[in-house]
Amino acid sequence: MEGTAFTLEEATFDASLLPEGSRTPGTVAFHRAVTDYFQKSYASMGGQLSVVFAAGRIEVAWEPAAAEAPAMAAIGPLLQQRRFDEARPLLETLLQLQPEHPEALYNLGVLASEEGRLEEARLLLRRAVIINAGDSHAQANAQVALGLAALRQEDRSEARQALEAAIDLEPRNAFALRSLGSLLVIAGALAAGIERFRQALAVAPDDLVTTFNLAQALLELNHQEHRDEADRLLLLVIEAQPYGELSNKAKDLRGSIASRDLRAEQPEGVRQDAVSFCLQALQLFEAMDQQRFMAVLSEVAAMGQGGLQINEPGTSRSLKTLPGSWSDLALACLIHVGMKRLMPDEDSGLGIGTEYEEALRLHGVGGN
Amino acid sequence: MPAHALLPAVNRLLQQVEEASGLPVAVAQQSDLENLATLRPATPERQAHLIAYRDADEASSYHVAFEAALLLRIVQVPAEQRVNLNEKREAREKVISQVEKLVKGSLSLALARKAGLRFYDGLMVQLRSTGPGLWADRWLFEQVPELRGLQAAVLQSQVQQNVPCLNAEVDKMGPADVVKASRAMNAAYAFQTAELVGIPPLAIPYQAAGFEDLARELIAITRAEPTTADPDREIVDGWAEKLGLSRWYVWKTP
Repeated sequence: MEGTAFTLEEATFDASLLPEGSRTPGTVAFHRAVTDYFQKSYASMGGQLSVVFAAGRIEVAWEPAAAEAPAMAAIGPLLQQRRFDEARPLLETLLQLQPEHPEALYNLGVLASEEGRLEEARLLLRRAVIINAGDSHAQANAQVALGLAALRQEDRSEARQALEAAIDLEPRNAFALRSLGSLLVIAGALAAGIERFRQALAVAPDDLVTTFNLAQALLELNHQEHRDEADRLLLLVIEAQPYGELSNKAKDLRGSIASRDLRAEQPEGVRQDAVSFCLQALQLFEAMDQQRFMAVLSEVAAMGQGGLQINEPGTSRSLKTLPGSWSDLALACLIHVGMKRLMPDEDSGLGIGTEYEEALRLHGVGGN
Repeated sequence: MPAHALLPAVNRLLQQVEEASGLPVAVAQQSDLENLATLRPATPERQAHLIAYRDADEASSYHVAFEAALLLRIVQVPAEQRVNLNEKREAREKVISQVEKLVKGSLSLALARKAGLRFYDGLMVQLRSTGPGLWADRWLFEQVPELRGLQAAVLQSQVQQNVPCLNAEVDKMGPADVVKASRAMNAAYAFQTAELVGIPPLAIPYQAAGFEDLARELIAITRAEPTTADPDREIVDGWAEKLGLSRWYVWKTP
């Protein structure tokens, strides 16, 4: 528990908590009884308690005990629960008392890195690497953390050196492999980065961040050649982790794959099937009131978030808000036309702009 | 580079909400959010629920789980019975005029009115959210034990942030009945947190200030078996009765 401080009016203190004969605010007996009450209440927590009476008020402050030499056994759970504000002072005390404490160096370095104090992080982690020389697992972890801190500070040279050292120490350290993969991708060495991601996945096949990174790097390396594998990997991410930042990124990337797919067969021309679907969508939405239109659009947009297989003629989905069955291309056209109706200046990113313009022209001709 | 993912237990909970409501749940990080997390249940115009959270850190898993737990209750209320808590003009004006009197001479009338409005609105938000929130915290403690570590950190931090509401200066700034009701709700939060995380001293400030009995009555209301289709409304009405706020708001269909 963190320290706490508060002030109460003597008159508002719950006198029923005090022994009879000491319940009158302002008296010595009252002050003594209130002090006893707080001392008993915080006794189980240790630490330092201060109860001061001034101008009719009770000022209470409680601080947890300053650790003499906090044990890592007590700090570990705080770190696991991400209670960093509680863990940090304990680690700092530990390091002051034992300047070469390997876990204190490592954990304080990681905390500093997470909090953006990167110079401090790198100094601590370099010390942790040296101190952990006799323990290859701990040293590998320190190297990985040092690599990440260096990467955050855009020092790719130390980052690469540290991550490679970590992999030398522990060739199956999935986090080190993944981090080195990311570093290589950032540096433009896509094939080497992909190789590291594959090694990381061989060790930790359920690591969704690596799965996503691999898909992204594959598409960047050669979209056409790796499209199927990347799409399969992204689908794995979305299925395993349907919500949140990672799946949103995976969905966006699948959207961009779908957009390129659309142009794959006829890069120059207009896809007549998409024109027909856009025309159908224009006619459908025109016949709807705003409420029904919004209901349909939000349903198809939510469905589209999962990714659409635009070039799969066999796909067939049903909607709650519209009868019949719908191919993914038809759904993409519904989304594009709906978005244009709502926000004419925005683009859906699905790559159906040309077909939509043609459908709009035909719709205008038909309407006239 | 993606850095953050919701914990698996939270994903399971979100799937549970989707199954119960038959509608998708969208979860998005929004760094300009005023609160830690917000919830926008689906409407006929928007056929998806939206949970937004502010910080891309691990604690956001708990904030999302908390909103999902509330959503799970909301979607089980039949659509035609869903209602929103709305202000009652007379109550609002009464608070504003009390604040105007309290700060007369030190603030302009316009600022005093604004401050009064903030007190009233703040209390109504607290009344609408704290009771159902206590239910959600306890439900998550029992049903999703994987989150207990995060929960302990989030709840303790919230209790610590609330403690200054007891300071005597607050009495000079706000109307007595608003301040008392707000403190009582914070007390309920502190007593339940003390129980869930096993640290009784968390509630000591509120016990010393004489809020224990009222806090325990409020907690009991959140744990009572619901008798209507809208348990959150029951909790809010029950709390309002205990806090003397029954005439401060009205329920209206959206």
